[in-house]
Amino acid sequence: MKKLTLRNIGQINEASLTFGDLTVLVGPQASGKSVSLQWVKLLQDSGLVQQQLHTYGLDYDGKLPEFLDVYFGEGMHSIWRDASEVVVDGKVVDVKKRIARQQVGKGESVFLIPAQRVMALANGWPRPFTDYKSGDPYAVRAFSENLRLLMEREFNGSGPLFPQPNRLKADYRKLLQASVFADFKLSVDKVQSQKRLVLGVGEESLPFMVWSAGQREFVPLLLGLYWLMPPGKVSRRNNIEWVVIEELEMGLHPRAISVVLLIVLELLTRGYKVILSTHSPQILELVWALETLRKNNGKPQDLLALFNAPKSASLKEMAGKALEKSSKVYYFDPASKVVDVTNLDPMSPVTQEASWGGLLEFSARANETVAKAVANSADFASGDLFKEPA
Amino acid sequence: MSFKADVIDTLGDGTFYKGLGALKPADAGHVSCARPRELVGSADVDAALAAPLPNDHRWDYVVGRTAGNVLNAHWIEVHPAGSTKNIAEVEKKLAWLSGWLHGNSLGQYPRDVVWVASGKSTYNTRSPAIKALAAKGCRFVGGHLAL
Repeated sequence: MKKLTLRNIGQINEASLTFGDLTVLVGPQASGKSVSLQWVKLLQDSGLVQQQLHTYGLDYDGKLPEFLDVYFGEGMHSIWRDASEVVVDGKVVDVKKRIARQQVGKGESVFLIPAQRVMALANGWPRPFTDYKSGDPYAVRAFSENLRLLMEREFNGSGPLFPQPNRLKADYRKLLQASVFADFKLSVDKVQSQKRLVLGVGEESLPFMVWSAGQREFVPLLLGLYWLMPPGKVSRRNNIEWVVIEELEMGLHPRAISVVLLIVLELLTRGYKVILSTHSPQILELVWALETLRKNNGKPQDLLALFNAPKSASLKEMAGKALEKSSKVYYFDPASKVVDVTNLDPMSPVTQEASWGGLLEFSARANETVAKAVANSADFASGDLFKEPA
Repeated sequence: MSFKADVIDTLGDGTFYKGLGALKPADAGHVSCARPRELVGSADVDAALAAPLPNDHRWDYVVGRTAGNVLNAHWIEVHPAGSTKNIAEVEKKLAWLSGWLHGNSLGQYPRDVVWVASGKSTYNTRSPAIKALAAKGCRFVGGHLAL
């Protein structure tokens, strides 16, 4: 899929998305970003989604409204209207027909890390698909189930889950240690016979509910990244081509966001196409810098400087490949069509682009407020503000 | 005294223009006003002071605008925003403006000091250099100022 167009679906009037290697969606709450991302998953993995729903006893009778309630979550049948339309690479998709019949189930090609990812570990251990209520969105259930499989199949042994020598490059581990985990180690322990994830420091083990908000948000994301980057020389997981991460910034300090973004570049260089939805200007700063470096023959070390990352040979190689990747940014305007704001040009006459989809608006107003207060202060009027200290 | 009289008193005869008339054609495209009736007039500060203060880091323009019965002076600099060198240049001009306004009749009006980028910009409103400039009294608005 290179281009997806959604018309008259939920809050979306028209979203015409041509995907880059990295695609970023911005826009206010309830503007259709999440729904669009779930359509990407559904369109790419229809057969697998149907099979999973069938396997776990979720029956929609081949009917679209019932399916939408099961897939997107309770009450979401209302997003589909008579005028709704889905177009993939120029061809209209007969959604009703596709849902009515079981499609061929291929391997999973889209790995979606949902915004509600913290729910996947609500009890300190990945919840199985069937542990959710019938009205809970498929994306949360499926992500949770993948984490459960990861823990069951790949983390049976002893030793910490983080840091772990054969998972993530040493540079990433060091950066994550500094920005997210401090001296803590993520590992598995048992209370009676129940396994649970704990953060340990020295002899102490802290259960999920006492972790920091950022750690609770980050650990499901970390496990998702483990899933996408298997150990050994395999660069990608099975048939997965697309990685979708909703609001990766949730709960994280900008330094931690920076490290996660560096790992997103690693995903790109492994050949994944990545789609992010975000409310963080920091992610648009990355796209702005990436595109500018790409157009101006920027060097890998320039890109690594953005992250304050070590200039190791392995990271330089990764950064060099990342600079060859293309990016796209779309603004979901609740009052209009989705706008391509990829250039992120502060000079653009298109307000949505100049304000980076509204993410710079508050910053601009803060500057204005501060500047006006200072310009009208006694220090400015007397010239004292600019006098060199004696 | 009126804004017009203060402009003439400070900058000399023939320096006051109606609306945004003092702005050079190349700069005028960077500034707009949704309610032109609010505009009292403008002056090209840089041109007016070129002869008496040839080596000073002169600010570009002043525009008088009445909003809510208050006459505000918008001090507008249309200047490149492509490098740290440009930031330093605007800082020098800002320091000059602050000193020049001291005891000047145009200094009596509430001020809005604005830098408008004349070409491509490598800065956005989150840039620390732009924040530092705001802390000295000047706001950066990118390529267009809407009054």
